[in-house]
Amino acid sequence: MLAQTHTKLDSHFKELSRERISLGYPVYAFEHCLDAGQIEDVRNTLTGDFARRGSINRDHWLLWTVVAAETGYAYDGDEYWHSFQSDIPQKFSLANRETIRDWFRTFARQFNGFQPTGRWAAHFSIIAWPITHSILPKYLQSQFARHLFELRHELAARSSASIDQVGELLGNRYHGDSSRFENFLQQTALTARLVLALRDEDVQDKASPIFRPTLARIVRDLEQRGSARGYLRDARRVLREARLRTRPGLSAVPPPRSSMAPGERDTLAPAPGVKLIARRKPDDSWTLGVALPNFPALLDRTGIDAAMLDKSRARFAERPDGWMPGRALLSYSNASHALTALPAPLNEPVIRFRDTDEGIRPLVAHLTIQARPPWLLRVHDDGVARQVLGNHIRAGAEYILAADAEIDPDVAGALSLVEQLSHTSGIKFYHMAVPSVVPPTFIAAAQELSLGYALRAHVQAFGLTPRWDDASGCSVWLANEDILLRLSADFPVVEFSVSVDGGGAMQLPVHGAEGILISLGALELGRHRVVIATTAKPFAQHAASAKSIVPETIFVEVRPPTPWQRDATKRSGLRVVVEPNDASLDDLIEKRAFLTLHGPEGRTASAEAHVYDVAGHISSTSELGRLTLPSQDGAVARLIEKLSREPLSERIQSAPRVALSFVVDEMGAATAAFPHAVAPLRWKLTAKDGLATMRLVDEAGVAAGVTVNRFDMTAPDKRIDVSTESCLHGVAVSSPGSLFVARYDNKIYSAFASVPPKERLATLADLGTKIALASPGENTRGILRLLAMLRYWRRARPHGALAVIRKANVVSLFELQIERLACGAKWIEKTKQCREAGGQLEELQREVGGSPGFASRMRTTQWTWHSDIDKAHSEFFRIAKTYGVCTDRKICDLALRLAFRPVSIRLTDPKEGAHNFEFLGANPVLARGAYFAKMTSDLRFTESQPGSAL
Amino acid sequence: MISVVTEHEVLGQIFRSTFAGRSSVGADLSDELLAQLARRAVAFTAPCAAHELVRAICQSFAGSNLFTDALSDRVERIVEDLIVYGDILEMRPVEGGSWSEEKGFVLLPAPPSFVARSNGSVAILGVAGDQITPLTAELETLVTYRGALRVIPAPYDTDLHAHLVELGLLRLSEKTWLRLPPSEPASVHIASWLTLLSREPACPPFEGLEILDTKRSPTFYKDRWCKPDRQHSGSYVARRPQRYGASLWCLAELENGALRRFKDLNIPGDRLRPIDIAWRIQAAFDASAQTPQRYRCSASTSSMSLLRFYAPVPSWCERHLSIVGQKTKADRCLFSFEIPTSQLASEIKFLRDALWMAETTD
Repeated sequence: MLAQTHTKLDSHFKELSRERISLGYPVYAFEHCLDAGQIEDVRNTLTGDFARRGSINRDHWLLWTVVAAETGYAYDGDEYWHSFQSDIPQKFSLANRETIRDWFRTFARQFNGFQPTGRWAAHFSIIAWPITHSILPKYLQSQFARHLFELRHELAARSSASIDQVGELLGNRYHGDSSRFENFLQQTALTARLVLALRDEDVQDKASPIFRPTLARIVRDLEQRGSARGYLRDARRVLREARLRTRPGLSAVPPPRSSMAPGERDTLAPAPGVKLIARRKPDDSWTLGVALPNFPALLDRTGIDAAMLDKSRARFAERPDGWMPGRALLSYSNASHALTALPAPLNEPVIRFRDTDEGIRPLVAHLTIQARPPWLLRVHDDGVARQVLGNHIRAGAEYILAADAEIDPDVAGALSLVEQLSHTSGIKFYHMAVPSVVPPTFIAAAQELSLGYALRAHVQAFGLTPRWDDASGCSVWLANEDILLRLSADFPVVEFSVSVDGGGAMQLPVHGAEGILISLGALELGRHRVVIATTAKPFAQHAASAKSIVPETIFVEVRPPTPWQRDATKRSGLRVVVEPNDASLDDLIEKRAFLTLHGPEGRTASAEAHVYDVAGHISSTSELGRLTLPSQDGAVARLIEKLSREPLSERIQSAPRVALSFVVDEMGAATAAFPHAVAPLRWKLTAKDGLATMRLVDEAGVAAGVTVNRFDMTAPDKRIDVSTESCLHGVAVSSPGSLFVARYDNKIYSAFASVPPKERLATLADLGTKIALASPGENTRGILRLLAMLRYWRRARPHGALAVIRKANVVSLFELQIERLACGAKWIEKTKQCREAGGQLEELQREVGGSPGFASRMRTTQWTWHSDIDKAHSEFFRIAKTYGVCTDRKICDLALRLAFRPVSIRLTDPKEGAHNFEFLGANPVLARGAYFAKMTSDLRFTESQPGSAL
Repeated sequence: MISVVTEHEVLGQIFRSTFAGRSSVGADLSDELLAQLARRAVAFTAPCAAHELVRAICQSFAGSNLFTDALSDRVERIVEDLIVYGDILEMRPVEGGSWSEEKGFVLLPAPPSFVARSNGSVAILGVAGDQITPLTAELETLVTYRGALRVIPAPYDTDLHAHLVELGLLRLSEKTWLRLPPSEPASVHIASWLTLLSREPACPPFEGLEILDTKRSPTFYKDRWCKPDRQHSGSYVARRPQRYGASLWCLAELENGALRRFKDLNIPGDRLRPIDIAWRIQAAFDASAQTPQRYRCSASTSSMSLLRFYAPVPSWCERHLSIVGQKTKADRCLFSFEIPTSQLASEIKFLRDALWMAETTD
């Protein structure tokens, strides 16, 4: 039976390969021609054959690839080989796994089969084959459908793009939290062909990139879930409509952007610099502001990596003390900022960078105010006045002139300017209403202010209120919106002539006096220039004015709709901020990061923890409690603490993604998501029949190069070697638990397994665990070793009951011993008294030693460790130097790091490290000062919390 | 393709642009289309004042036959309905923005959410940014649009709620959506506001105050508004002008028509709008004066009843009625609701408990 099926599959794949080779489409093992029953028979027979022979039979290699791809399609996304062994319940060795990979390679050679590429495929070099050969694993289908939906218009706009370009678009535009899906999108050749196949499934006259019955099966599975079905259908509709539109001869559309000359395309780009806007207050006063650009797009355009912002700090020019992290700029994208004063001098940018380096310098030109005063701003229908860069006024329009000095009273009189109250220092505002018939005296006075005047067509968006992009000065339309305009003029018109992006002008005769309505139809995504020329009626009385009629040029931007889920609560002011912004959930739980919820004062937020499965669906939701807005750190900390309690703790630690959601009734929810990336090596704790087992999951097939150590919780610094092979099958863990550290390729993969005692707990004291360091060290040199251990424990992902608490206890033990070695045993006693027994801080302050001023400054200085680490280091060094405690900056930095964040100490050179710690050991005043600074900083934070007993 | 289009064709194109996945049911500027245009516009004009949103929508029809005085009134009413149902939030401006300092209320798009109605249908609320409605085309075709309300009728899908949550919509409980104030006797309600009023300092008279005269018949709302004169002594729901912006709702104490003190109607947290507070106080005044506000009940079909109202009710009352019923075109009344006769008793009890209303049989 196996031989027959093998032959059948061989013919089938050869046929597929022949059909596709000229098209460059690869073949996938999942594109077999077997039905579900046949696959089941093959699987059972292969299992039996394997059991009899004790090895996998080379004669059936093709069948094995098909069965492996089937597992790749159906597995739950967690562990491939675990699922494989459920399908083939035989012990499958590492060598067998490698053989399967070899057979996939044979498949690729013989049938022009797909070859996985990318970083993920390189890391997971075995399972990458069966997973990618399953085309679209079930657990990724919902995410794929949604991603396709979100990119539908951009994909439609690239109907003539190459396979690589489509695949890159899919990969580059994913900003979600699923590392598994991100990995999948690295297979650009696969994902692009999948899109093509889904789009063209209805086209029967050409070869499909995916075997039609296989595609039908994928679509059928995809449509099982309501939301995925909806997303897929909507995306396919848009893609198919675009395919029909682009078929030659079916429609007349403006020239494609690709056909425009480079110079022509450049004229479409907005001029560098920020544009001014002004807003009126209810008392008719005005405030000047700037329209800030879309920063991600600007970074892209100027070739600046967003990571460069992390190296800098920024502030608005008129707020000297308002420094913020450089990355915070991204949150100001497309926002407008009110100016209390203009930048001085005027050619300075409105946003300044503290550490302007070459990398960021290109941004400066884009953040400088355009043109010179007086600035002309046109008052739009929404009441906002926006800068007119050409300084051309038009009949019947209303303007605001923003000047940096008083306008000549004669000119102001001739233009009937009315001065307005200004809220921007150094700016005078004048209101100007241009009459519908503009007299020559008006034109002459306007010229005095460098304002031009010419007759032009009036162009107004019709029916759909225009969105304004204040930064680039154009209206913005969505890909699914028809651009409708009303054209009119203040003089009799025979016809309008309209052209888009330099294409042929369309003559549009005017029959009435009221103007005409036109549709520009569906324009391509991007920025377009629309030129409207006007032909006046050839009456003698208009002859003079006809000479001064100039074409009107407007710019319109067409973009795809933004998925609403991304910014549903942005405008309601509900915002959750995690600092630092790249903090993990563990950082939050272990108080290395902080969360703040902003929203309307007095409202209450209901906090929930959502745990997601690998398919991106919520698998469980736990209520954490309620918060009154704006949130207080103490209240947030109490909620976060609940995440470290069982059973929530274990669920969270094993989830691929967790989101903390804060729901404020009808205002919606603000959410902070915390993904757990899939590491090539990871640990899994299972408990069966009272036996806890820790297993090393090796999806990358790299076990041969892995070494493993164990550190029992009772002696957390005592290293015990463990065989990698036994870890792959699972090793028993005894109570209270152990830390497992796997090392591969200079990387560490650690996890702490917490195990409850087997015996029944009789008293609360039974919960306590004795922990003692095997080698606590005798002097500061010993800190080096303890830091290495501390780093293992800190990094370890906690698994099992009480794991978070137990891990925290071990970490505290290490930190305390390090402090003891750096500051002395007496210091530890005193700090303990101060913290736990209500001892006096003054007493501890005296214990620091050295000049009393040094300790005093340690206590009174506002340490900015979390907000501005460089400033904290500089200040610490300055004080230590001033009071003669230390003049070596390196040692000062080491002391402060040791006290505030010991794991941040990187010791690349052990010799130098030992030397530095020796130096520090010789200066206990410095170390005690640093620890005292940390302690007072913590106390200040605690005291600032409402309800604090202090 | 560039082409000249007629107003009729334009409306068809606007419909296609704003109702993704639906075929046009008629190219007229219907209430449903205007509501969709308001949802679209508020997504990018917010935060803005209500009159700014109305103006922005109306101005887009300037220069055409559609641009009439009546259009402004209709858009204003529809925006109000969108606020009532919760598609648009009316809140105080978020503090911290560089343009802040503005007082009063601003409009913001509510995040997409849904409420299960007692008849099994689901009301879709909120604005989905660029997409306007947060549904896929498949679900969108099932939505019934009636004025500002969007409903997926029951039964559609046994798992509809899960489906909506999966799309990202927030499930609002009936309690959260309704935002009902606690029930209390009219006298207690009045007493609590009069206490607050008594704490206000005396104020000099000013021009432009308008009051709702409790002595005039509660069945003709517009006729109740008047300028205070010597006959007016006591406490009145009033509107006081401000230099810029709409008049403010307040509770005024008058003596022989002269203003003695006033209390602006608002409560912390924006959970109740000033206008809603005012209408409830007026309902309490009317009930205390033994002339409670009235509704008329009649059978519209064999299973449906029509409730006609003659005075405005707070938005939470409209939401409560819309849980079971449907707002219908006004006929010989200010507005009306069609509700299943089986639900009539509970709705009448609600009107009696919350607004102290009584049925009229005149």
